[in-house]
Amino acid sequence: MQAKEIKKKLRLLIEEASVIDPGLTKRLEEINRWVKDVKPGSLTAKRFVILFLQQMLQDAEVWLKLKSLPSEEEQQSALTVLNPTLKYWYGYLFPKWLSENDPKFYIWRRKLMAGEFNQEDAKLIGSIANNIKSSGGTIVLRYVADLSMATDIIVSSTQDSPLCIQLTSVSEEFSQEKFDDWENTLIFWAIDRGLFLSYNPRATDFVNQIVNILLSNSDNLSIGSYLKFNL
Amino acid sequence: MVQEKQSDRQQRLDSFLQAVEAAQKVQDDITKYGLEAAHLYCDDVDGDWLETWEEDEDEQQNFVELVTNFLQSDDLVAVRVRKQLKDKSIQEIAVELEKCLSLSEDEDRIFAVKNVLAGSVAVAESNRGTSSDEIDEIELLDLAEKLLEKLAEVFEKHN
Repeated sequence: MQAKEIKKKLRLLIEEASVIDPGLTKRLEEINRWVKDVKPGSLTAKRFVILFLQQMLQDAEVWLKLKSLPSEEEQQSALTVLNPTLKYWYGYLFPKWLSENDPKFYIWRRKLMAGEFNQEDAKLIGSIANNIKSSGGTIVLRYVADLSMATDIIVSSTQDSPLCIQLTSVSEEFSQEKFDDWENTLIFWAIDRGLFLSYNPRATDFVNQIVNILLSNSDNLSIGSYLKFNL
Repeated sequence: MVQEKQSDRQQRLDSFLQAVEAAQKVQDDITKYGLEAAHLYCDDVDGDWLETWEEDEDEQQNFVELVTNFLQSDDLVAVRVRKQLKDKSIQEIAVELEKCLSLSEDEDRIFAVKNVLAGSVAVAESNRGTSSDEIDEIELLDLAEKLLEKLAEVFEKHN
């Protein structure tokens, strides 16, 4: 597929959304304007924009299919077929993002253009994701969650209760400010609990340790808790 | 009848679940390949598409407007389409037609338009013969063909 076709698909979805969900139209229009103004600041910018668009188009398509189901009952029943993490994403966080004003949205573009968008922890998150899946847990990873909702990964374990997680390496200078900002962001999106985990990449077997902590907190962390955990 | 409704519902659910699966596939590719996954979804990642994103914007916005104008006209084909799809808004129909016209094969386009006229849920690439009533089917195909001819005329005039 050519980038032009991705753009065409975006326009089609904007039009399709206009008769189904004005919130989605507004967001997609915003994304279109946003892309127009992105000036590639680094070699990775174009890759990121393509993947971001692809992810957004797929989520928009899911959303339109859901909202086109003829009754509220049928929509709810379709959501219950999904695993709890996906249900949380499509049934709660994604629609929330569509309907609220996102204060961080324009900050991403600035970061991207300044070449500040990095994917240093992408590999680690990939291993964690695989590990969680093989332990029977479910995950959702989205750029929107990462950049707007301070959530690297959403995880559910045996209790089917999704938990939003932010990972930070201890080598990044830890500051109370970063933690406060994370907590405020979660509260802003009405995410009712979260885990802020700082890990030491030099420790042995830290991936397995992280996975165990994520799974157990997903099952046990109480509502209203925004937990800081140092590994 | 009840069975038919159930299978329609199942079809809608399957189509929703397929979309979810496609979204999760993007997620899995990003987890596996990082930003390089962009090459799986786009052949010209390093091209100048970002620099030229704004170009031909107007052309695309005009599409729905042109189709809408046609559908609102007194043209006999437009009247027949409106009558056939009286439960849908003109804009809705125009959006669905744009989707059909984006298909590359002529034959796929006709069948997709026929499905829109039949009020089917999904506009699949080549979803043929979903109705059991053959007379309706032929009439709808005929209308789909005429509609495509008319739309081609509209665009020709405009460009």
